[in-house]
Amino acid sequence: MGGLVEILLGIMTAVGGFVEVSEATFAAQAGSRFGYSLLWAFAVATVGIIVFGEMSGRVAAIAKQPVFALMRQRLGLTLGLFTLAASVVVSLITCAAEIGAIGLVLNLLVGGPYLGWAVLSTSVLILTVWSMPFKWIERVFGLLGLVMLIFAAATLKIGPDWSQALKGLVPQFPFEASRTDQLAYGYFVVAIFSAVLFPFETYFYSSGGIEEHWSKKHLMVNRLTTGVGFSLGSLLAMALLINSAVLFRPAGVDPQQPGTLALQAAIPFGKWGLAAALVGLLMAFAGAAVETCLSAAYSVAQFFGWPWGRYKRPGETPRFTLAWVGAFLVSLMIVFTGIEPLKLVEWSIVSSIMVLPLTYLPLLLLANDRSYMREHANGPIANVLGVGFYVILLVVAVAALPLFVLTAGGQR
Amino acid sequence: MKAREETRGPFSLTARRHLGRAATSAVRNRFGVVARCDPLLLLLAAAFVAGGANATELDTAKLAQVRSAVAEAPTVLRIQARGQVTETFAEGLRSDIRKDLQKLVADPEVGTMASAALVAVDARDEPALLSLRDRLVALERAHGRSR
Repeated sequence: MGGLVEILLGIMTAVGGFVEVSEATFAAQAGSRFGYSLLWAFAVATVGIIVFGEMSGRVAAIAKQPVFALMRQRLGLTLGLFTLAASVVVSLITCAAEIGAIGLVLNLLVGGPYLGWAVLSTSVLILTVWSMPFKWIERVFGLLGLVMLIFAAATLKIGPDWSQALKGLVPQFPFEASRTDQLAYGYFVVAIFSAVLFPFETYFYSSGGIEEHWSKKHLMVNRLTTGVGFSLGSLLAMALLINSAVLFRPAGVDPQQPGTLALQAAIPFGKWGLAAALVGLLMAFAGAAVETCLSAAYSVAQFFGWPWGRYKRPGETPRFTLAWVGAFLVSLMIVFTGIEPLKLVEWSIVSSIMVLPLTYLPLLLLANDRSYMREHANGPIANVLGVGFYVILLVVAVAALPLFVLTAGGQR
Repeated sequence: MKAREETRGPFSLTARRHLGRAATSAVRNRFGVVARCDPLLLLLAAAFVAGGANATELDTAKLAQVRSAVAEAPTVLRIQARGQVTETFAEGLRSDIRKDLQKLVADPEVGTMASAALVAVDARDEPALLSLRDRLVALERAHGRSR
């Protein structure tokens, strides 16, 4: 019974914690610009995050190795340091985007200055992470993030053209469209892959496995959390895309702000739908802000071999504690530069996709290493999927920067 | 290709067609909302003559920003009138829309259109905003950016 509750909570936490500001923004913009035709990109990328997420959880449970300890072992000091620096920068930019978005949502919910809300919310998040154990942090934000299900309810209420939506799940390319639209379509594919396969999600997930002292008996929890939890979470992101295709595309609105996203629930459900949407977005962004800052701290501590973990008291892990508090403060400073959250989202998307191949290579190698993983090393299916997605990631990483420049971050 | 050619020059077909539509709607609604905003329509028309004059050099990214802001404004007005959102929320969104447009007012390519849009947003003029949105969508299409 306890095991079942554990599995259910794990799945629900994965669903509630799946969507963050980049996914939400790009899902909504993709639906507004290209209708249902980019749903397949979410579906394919979700298989990718399930494959690598499951692998990272399995490695954490069996080899007891978090991603960045592997990075240093497998990539060597120079390339490892480069990956570490790039990953930390991506995490900080992403966290700044989340904090900025929290400020915007609170401004729309209760009024008041956006920057004031950013400061207050950062303080609350620091206090929360300081005072709560890892499991509570993960569960509280993940479960409160389930309020985001209002967007899925909105999809059912507005009644999209389901046959068209199903056709959108088939990989496709708009060959008949103009060059401008083709480039933008390509950029959105890259952005969706990047948003779903964000590296911090794997760092956080595998570090969480070690925080919770996972062992062989947690392999099923790992498989179900990644398989079922991530799939359901991805459906939520797809709901944002579908709602946008139905509500915003005909109106000519490109949703770029969290407030515009909330209209997806306000239009079918009125004020209570609006309130639920804003609270859901708030919790999703807050959860992602915590994950990105902790991920940055996990990465640095694991790479340099410092004591780390939220299962220990802050005084027992001084450098790790300083790293995550510092990550929050640096992210807040980025918000104070006045750069718009949407710009930060665009930068984090492009920079993260370029880091992804370096992040997943050591993971793929160790998950195949029978001396560490014994009978739990990758089987043929995991290997085919792992290598296949790795090749896709390489292609996407190479295409990311040129597409970003040519399309002005998908705006052109 | 044909659409692209049409948008060239200060007295382009597209610009003249935009002016024609504005005039028609003014006649059709001369005792209604639009009649109250005649200067606004003139401003919109001027904006499109300017837009048409620079059509070949227009940055579709900026054009899309103006169009999206212009399209969002009537949506907000409509759901606010129906009582589906709070005043704080509606005012917040309108303020975001104004900020987005204000950033583009000084832009040499889309500044005139952003100014016209700002006037329509401040006047809460839904028909003018919808009309402006449709013209911006047409201009984007002429530049290869469909919706």
